Amino acid sequence: MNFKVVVPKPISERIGGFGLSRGLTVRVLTAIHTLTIARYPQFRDARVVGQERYCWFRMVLAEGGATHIFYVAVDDTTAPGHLIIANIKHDFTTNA
Amino acid sequence: MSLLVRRCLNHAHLLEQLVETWQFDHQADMCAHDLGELVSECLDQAQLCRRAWKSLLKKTFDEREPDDKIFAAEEAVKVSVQRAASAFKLIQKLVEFAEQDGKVVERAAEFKQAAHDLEALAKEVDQRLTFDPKMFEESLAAFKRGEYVLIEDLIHELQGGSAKAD
Repeated sequence: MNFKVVVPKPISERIGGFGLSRGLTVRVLTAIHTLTIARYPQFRDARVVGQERYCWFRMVLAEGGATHIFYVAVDDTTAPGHLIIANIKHDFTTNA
Repeated sequence: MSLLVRRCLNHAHLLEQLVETWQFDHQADMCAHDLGELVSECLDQAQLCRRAWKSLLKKTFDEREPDDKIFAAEEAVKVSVQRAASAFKLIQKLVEFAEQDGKVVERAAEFKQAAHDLEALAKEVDQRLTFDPKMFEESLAAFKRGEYVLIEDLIHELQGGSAKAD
C-alpha cells in the first residue's frame, strides 16, 4: 500500500518550535518521511501506552556536537492510506 | 533489557514485598530496627533507579539500540520508579510515626532526601517518557479540519525557503 505521510499544523508548529537549524529541520522531516513509510511494518505493533490508536518509532540524528532524539507517534487508524504524524517529542545531548 | 534495569525492576518488587510483609508482621508494634532495614533497602533502590535512568537515557541516544529494547527498558524503569515512589511514601509515613513515638530510625535523614529526589525523578521519567496528550487531540482535530500538509510538500517548502535565503 502506498501511504501518504501527512503533518497536521500543530505538529509542524511544534517542529518549528524545537529551535533546530533549517538544515536539521529538513533532515528531520526527510527522516520522518522516509522512516515512517520504510519502518511502518516494524513499528505498527509498537502502540503508545494508554493511546493505542497510535504507534510510534524513534529516530536519532547528529548535528555538529549534538545528538538529537525524536519520538514520533503515528496515527494509522483515522484515514486509510494516510499515516498522520500525531505527536513528536524531542530531546538532545551534547557530545562533550 | 540490561542487567541494571532488571535489577532495578526486581529490587522495586522486593521493596514492595518487604513493605507488605513488614506491615503484616508489625501491625501493632513499631520495630525501629526493621524500619531501618527497610530504609536501607529504599536507599539502595533510589540509587538503582537513578543509575538505571541515566543508563537508559544514554542508550536512547544510541541509534544502534533497537526501539523495542528501548521501549521495554523505558517501561521497566518507569514501573520501577513508580513502584519505588509508592513504597517510599508508605515508608515515609512509618518513619514519621516511629519518630513521633520517640524511636530513632537509622539513616532517616538520608531517606527523606532520597524520597524527595525519587519523587522528582518519577516526575522527570513520566514527563520524558509520555507523549503530550493534548498534542494528540490537537493534531487529530487539525487533520479533521483539513489543516495539514503532505510531508514532502513541507520539505519542498522549507528547501525552497532555504534556497531563497541562500
